[in-house]
Amino acid sequence: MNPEFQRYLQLEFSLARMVVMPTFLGIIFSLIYVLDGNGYQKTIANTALIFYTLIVLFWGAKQAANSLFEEINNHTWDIQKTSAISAWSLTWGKLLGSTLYNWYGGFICLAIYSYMTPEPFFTPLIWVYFISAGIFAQSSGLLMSLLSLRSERNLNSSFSYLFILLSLFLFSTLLFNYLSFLRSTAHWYGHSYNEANFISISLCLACGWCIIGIYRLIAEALRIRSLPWVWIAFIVFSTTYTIGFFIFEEFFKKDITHLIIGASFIILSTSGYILLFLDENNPMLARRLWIYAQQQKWQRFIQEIPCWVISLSLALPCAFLLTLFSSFENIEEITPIPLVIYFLIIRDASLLLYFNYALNPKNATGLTLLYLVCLYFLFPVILFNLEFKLLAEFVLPLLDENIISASIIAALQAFFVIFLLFSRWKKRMNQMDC
Amino acid sequence: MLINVSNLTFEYTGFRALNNISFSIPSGSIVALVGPNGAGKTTLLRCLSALEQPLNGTILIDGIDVLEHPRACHRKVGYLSDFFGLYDRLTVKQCLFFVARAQGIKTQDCAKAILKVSRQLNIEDRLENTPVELSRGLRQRVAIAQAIIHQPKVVLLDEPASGLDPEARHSLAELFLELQQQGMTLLVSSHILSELEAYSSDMLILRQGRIVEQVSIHEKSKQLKTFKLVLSHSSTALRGILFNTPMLSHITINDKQATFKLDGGVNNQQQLLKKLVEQQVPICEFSPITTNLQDAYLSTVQS
Repeated sequence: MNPEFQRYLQLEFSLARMVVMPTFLGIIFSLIYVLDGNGYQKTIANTALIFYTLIVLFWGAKQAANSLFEEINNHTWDIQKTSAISAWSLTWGKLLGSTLYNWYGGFICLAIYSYMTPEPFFTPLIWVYFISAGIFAQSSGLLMSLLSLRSERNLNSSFSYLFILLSLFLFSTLLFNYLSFLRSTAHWYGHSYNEANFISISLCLACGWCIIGIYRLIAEALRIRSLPWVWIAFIVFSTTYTIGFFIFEEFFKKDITHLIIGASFIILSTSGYILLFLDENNPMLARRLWIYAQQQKWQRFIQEIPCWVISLSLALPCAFLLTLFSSFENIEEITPIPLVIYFLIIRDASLLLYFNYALNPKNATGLTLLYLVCLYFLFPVILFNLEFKLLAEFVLPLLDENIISASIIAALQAFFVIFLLFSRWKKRMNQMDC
Repeated sequence: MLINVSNLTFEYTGFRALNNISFSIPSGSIVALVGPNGAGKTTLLRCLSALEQPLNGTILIDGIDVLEHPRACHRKVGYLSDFFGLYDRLTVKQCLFFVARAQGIKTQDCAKAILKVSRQLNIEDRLENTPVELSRGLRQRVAIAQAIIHQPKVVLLDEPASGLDPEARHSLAELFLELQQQGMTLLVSSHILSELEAYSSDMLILRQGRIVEQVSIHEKSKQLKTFKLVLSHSSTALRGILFNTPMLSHITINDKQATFKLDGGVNNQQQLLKKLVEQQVPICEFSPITTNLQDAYLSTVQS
């Protein structure tokens, strides 16, 4: 048996805990039966789903995230990292092991739902949907904790919990509208699917990607290196999945190539931008990469390069092609200013790195976000209200209607921050070499 | 050589923790890793156990490139961190079982491995306790048991004796010698030099991220074997005898007292003593000045 899973089995399944869960749920459902005379069956079925959500999704996600935070805080993470346990064993051992007790309660709830539901025909679908939702929520929790470990931020579990809770709150509204989806249709690549089935399959795919993400991050923590094929595969999958919703729309039928490049640009730049704030951005990584490049260790270079760099590098040709298409075919309404957006992303990335490369880079992410709020919102609003339109356009080139001048201003801003970053980097490296 | 480190450099943001260091450790030795706080001892041990990624350099342990194949190296290395942790909700037996399984020991062989290691560490009677019920010394033993349960070739121990009472330290020293006899190579970092002297065969002195000296402790002691001669009253003959004896060096004479280094073994001591007595030098004390590891360390660091 997987040692990590077995460890959790020993921890989670004491006789007392085994008894407490069914007793507690039994009391709750008995109470509903006593209080709600006539329609008790439906009420119990719905309550079972609510409790499933609370136990498996909310509590389960917290438990999954905690499984890593506890290892770090109890100084046992090194034991696992220096063991011979494989990344895959650790992935499923942690994911399923830490949430075993939640699944125990969750399956009791699903069993009660199946027994009490007035619509037993949909029960198998409900099981698939809710189980995949549970796995998705828990794997997201573990993924978040691994990302916070990777970015070398202080392990602030409460922040992660807050993030998980907010996401799950939004997610559960989708979850409880599931039965309404059974009667509607989803269109993807020109085919019609039952929306509930489509959501279930999409959820299963999302679970798969989450688990692959956890595996990759755990492998990285165990110092197992690999080329970034998984990230590229994820980008290709996300783009293909997204295009499926639009490709047969009349508007896009005219220019499928344009749609593919546009979707790729959006996916690449968005994923790159999000990952930028979640990834490891310390100057030592840049220094290592620099040394690998000098020593021409290109494989190691690509293995260690952050995924956001790969995304943003691939987004550049997309931005150029979109700009070319825009000018030739006059369809700015779809791709108005891709180059401007790209340069602004590069500026923001450089700004984040600039703060990270400070001698004491305390809360570099927070500082960057503050600057971005000023650059994207506060300064333009103030300048616009003071009727300094030109200045506002200079601060936020997206406001400029002329694509060429907007691109030039955005590029200037990007190059200015890159120059600052390079100067700081050079200074820091000189200090290190002394 | 079991461990070969060459040109290892490790940097944290703002400072270089290890500065282009190279050294080798022979198989079956116990190497004391000493140095002041912030010298880079913990960083070096973490690099050797593939927990940290250095900026540059290579580490070979039993022929395995640690930086290229960290997982393969973990099968050969046992590591005890200075801030080790234990699974406090499991019993000691369950902790050891988990680590044994995680280190790839088959389920059917785990009981045997647990019994062996718990006997070695003298914790067989604590297997059903949880770590929270144990004293600091016993927790340390459990952590060491976890580090060596898979019988690694190399054991890396970061401040293993910190917080232990003298009795526990003594039994730890005995344990290390026992592990050495079993063929393990130990690299032990510690501030308590007197304790390292009891079991270390070599000393690696690290300062400001550089190797200041790597030396065999017995060689070091031999090199520094100095004798002291105390007279009951001053003697004019003493100077002539000492300076005309070829096996002596570093001679210092101060009225009724003299110190010198004497090459060779007991026969030379006997000859010198005989000569002094024949010349009627009024000797009241003739003894070696014992130097300990701390003196050796301080003399190296100060020089």
